[in-house]
Amino acid sequence: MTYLAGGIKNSFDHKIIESFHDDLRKDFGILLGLARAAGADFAEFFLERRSTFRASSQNQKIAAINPMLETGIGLRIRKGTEDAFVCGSELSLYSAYKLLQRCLEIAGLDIPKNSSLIPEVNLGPLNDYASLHKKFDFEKQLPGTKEVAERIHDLDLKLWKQVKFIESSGVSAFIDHQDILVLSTDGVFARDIRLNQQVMANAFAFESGDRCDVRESVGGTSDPTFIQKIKSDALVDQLAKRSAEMLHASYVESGEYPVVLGNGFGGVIFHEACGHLLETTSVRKKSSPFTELKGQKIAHQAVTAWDEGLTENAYGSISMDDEGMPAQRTLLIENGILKNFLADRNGSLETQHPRTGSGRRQDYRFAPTSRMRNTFIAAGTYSPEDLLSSVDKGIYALKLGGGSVEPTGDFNFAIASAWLIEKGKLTKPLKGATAIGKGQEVLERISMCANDLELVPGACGSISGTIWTTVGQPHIKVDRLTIGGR
Amino acid sequence: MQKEQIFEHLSKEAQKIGISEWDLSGSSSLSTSVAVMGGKVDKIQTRDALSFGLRVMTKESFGYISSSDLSGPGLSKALKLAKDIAELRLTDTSPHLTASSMEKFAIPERKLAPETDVRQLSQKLLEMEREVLKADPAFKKIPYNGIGEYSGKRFYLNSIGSMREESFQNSWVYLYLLAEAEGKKARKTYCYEQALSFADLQISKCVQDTINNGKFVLDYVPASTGKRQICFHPKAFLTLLSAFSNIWNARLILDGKSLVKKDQIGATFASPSFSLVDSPRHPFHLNPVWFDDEGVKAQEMSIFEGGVLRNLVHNEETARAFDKRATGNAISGPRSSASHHYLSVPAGTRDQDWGEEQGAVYVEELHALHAGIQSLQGSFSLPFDGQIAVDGKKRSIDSGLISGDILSLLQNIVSIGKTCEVTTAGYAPKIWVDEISVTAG
Repeated sequence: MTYLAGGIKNSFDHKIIESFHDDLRKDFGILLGLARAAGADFAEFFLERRSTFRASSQNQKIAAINPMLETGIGLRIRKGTEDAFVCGSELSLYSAYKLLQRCLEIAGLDIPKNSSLIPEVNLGPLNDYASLHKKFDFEKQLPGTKEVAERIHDLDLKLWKQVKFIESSGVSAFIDHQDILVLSTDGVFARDIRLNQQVMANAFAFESGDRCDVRESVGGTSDPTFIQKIKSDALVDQLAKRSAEMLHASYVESGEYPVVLGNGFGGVIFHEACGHLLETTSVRKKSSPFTELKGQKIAHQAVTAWDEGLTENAYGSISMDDEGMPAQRTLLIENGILKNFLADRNGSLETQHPRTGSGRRQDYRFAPTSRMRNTFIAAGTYSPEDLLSSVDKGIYALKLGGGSVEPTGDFNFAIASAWLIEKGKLTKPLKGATAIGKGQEVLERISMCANDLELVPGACGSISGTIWTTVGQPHIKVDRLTIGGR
Repeated sequence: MQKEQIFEHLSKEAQKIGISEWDLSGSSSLSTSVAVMGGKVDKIQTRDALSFGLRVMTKESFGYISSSDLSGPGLSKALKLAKDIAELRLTDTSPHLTASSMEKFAIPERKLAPETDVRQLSQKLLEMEREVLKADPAFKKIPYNGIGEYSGKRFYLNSIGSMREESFQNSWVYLYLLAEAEGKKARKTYCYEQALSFADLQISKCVQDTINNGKFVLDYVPASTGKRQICFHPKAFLTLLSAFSNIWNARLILDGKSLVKKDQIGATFASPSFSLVDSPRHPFHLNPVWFDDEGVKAQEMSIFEGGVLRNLVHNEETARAFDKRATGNAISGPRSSASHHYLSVPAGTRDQDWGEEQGAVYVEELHALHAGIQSLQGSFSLPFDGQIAVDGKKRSIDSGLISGDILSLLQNIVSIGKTCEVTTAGYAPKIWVDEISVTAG
């Protein structure tokens, strides 16, 4: 069909789009046609309906219950090498039309004259991942407010029974249900529903002037019964044990050490030291030290690393990315050789690296860009004990915190709790510190990988907002790392 | 909807479903930003944002909901959901509206600058990029940069008729330069300027500072590892201190999530030379704050006086628990908290430059606070950008970390500069602290 530009605007009203279905094809086909007729090389609508729920218990009392409802539309338009992005919270066709007007205006494009002919963009049939993976019933299957509150309250009570010298506690549950629709001028018409849940617990102990704050979290994707399945006793035992070990621990002494990093959250080192620098977000700006090194050795041959969105129920798994592309498995490094970058649509266009289904964004307020999903160093052949026994004097970083990386390749990450290694044995608990280094140097120093790969949930913040990811690795040994202690 | 319409709608709907007490706080904003890359416009963004928190109070409990839908049906839905939560009576707190939210005071009307055309913003940023990159052959790229504007309104309404509104606005520009000289490590420098409007932005200063700092960081030396006296740039100091704001936060003290206990108000925590003030309408605060998320008038308040912890930031609930008046620092949420508005440290007496002492270290900027702060343990271990005095000359430090304990740091303040500076973290002079651990990178 072809429409006259002048007739289009009057056909859209403020009626809220209550659900994302096939019937939206026609209206958005017209809007996308209008964008193309105005001169856009590419246009993409991202519609979102999101409900989150957070409950917390503190110091043995339910402290807060917070449902949150959000809706919105994000629209980006590309003309040449320039990207324009606008967003608004009203989820209606009228709002989509107004956003289009605004986006064309800031992109320096003119709305076609009233008499202009507007051929619509012929979107394909709805590619409905929500239907394909039976996600429509997620909301119905989730536990009710009272049940979630009772479960976290119960976990909180257990902390006070088990953690010695406990001064305060906090347990929270977070449920994030996101329903999205992507429609673009290249024919993408795709929908997904995502469910991510997380339970976090912390205990703060204080005795004889020593303070210790221990934290643990578990997370799951696409399983509405996740919170009901949490093994709360194991979680509490773990926190109680770590708190007892770390309460009177001394601080790490500043210096350079060989470091054995624990499995699971130890993967923060790869996420910061290398992962971000392999996103085309960095590569397109030539602000990654790895920009020109595809096919070359960038890491010790012990290192093979992946980023993927397919592991069942892993926190960074997605059926499709936020540009409507199905999730992929991407080999980043194979035996030390750089094999691939993580590319979103624009990143691929500008760097010529293939798209990897990695276009991600926090929500409709952000334009997508290349981001990590489940990122991990692959298992090696050693046992964790082999790694420890290879160290004469060093640090065993048991629990890591967050980190960050600069375009210079300088990275950092926090070590929340650690042990001193002396002659291959763990001899003394150590309170946390921060480790720093250069990504391109530290990858060469990962000399041993154990056989105990584990993925753990996390969140990653970058220019397209905060997204759910997993980090992971087996135990690894880094031959030398700078630790900022006391 | 205008605030009067929201009030009308909520009042009518609340009555229909038997709610007598509610309040709503929120904000709406419009932001525009531009980024450039290699002489071309890269990204232009505008965001229209709206969010609010609605609280429904019953005799024994309350319910809270966050939403972005301020339409009539959206408000009705939020009201019903908040009521449902209140009726579950899961929490044992029952906040209530007080007369403070009705206190009469005039909020001066501010004339906001008109929106700047995005093409004007992008042209200016392109000029800045060009000017910086041609200044030195080592200046390779500015991978992160931006110029933008932000404006909007904050509002508060409640069922007993309080209706407050204030506007805010600011403009900003930043350049993050990568400098790479032959045989040297890649170095970075970052300059940020903000002002009330685009016309007030100090564009030339931002360009010149980026050029000067870019040249400066190319000549770097390693720091030596060990404990030493540090001079903090005012922004670095305030950023670090703010990360431990649990010290003066009444909510966190009551929750046992502070480094301070309830009976320690009035105790000495810092050097006698140190004072700290929260000033919601400080003359250098771009956007003066008149009321908090519970509608209470925000007040100037002394937090530390001569090293003694004098006052805490309160909301209505914590003020009752401490038998104090609410201080106008409430932050809305399912568990109402409190936060300072704009910190300032009064000037001290030192006018000697930090660079006069051989080996002295100057910390300009701290990084990765989200990772390197243990706010309940009181410890920090953070990468920093800084300088070191070598033979009477100030040199850039290659890389390093500073580590320590915030309570010891406050005790170990040895001197405070004579001149205060306006920073994005507040208003303060340089501050010298003993016994900070430095690790060379």
